[in-house]
Amino acid sequence: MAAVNNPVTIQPDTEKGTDSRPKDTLDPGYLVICWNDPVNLMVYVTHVFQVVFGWPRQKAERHMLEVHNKGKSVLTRETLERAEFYVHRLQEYGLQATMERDEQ
Amino acid sequence: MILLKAEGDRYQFGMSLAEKTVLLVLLDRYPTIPLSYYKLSKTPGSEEEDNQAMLEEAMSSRRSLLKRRVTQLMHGEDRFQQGQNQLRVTFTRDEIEWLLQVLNDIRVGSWIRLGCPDCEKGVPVMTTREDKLSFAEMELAAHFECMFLEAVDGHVT
Repeated sequence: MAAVNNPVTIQPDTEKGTDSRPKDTLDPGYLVICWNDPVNLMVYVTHVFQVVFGWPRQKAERHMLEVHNKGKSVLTRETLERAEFYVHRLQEYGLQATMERDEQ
Repeated sequence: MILLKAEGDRYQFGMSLAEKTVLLVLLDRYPTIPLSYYKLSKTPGSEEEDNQAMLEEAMSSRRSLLKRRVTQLMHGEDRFQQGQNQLRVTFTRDEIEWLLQVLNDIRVGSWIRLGCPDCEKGVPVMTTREDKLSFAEMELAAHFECMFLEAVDGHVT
């Protein structure tokens, strides 16, 4: 069983009170999740993770195996905009990816 | 189809006329996945419908762009060169990414038309000609995907 990877947290690069965007946009509280399906090839999923996130093969394979064995993998934790960006990129490659609000 | 050589971000492949024909027919099928297949979130919410509409609009635009790119790429003059025993075709790394996206769309779209069977449990039951065609397209798309992945990643077994 692949080890669960700790999600990466990227703090928005803004100063307090100077950004007028909605709070949700700045909050790195959105999880990008990839869901298992029986059609996408394992090597293809690994490749897509490497391309979209720039991960080394080992990390990409770890997440691919987590998707395969556990049904899903949390790939990263991001702001709303970045999460949307990653979900779009993963879906362009035909993967089942969604973004979910991290309630924890 | 085999990788003949890789230099920098350029990959030269050799393929037969039959493989070229099959590849072009497959690529011409793009796009095949229904836009409604993609969901931005699995959590129902008040903004769900607006977000879903925006997602489908963005995906539709992206597909149109990719369709144009791949059509120009594959039907460009001198794209396929006649070698001694086979055709030769060269793609850049970016072009292979486009082809992978298109081929995987065809694979997933065929799988959806088959009723989303669990392919890991064996070959799905196919009773109609359409089912058999969808299954063939799904497997052929996977074949070309593996060829391209082996070229750029070198670890397909």
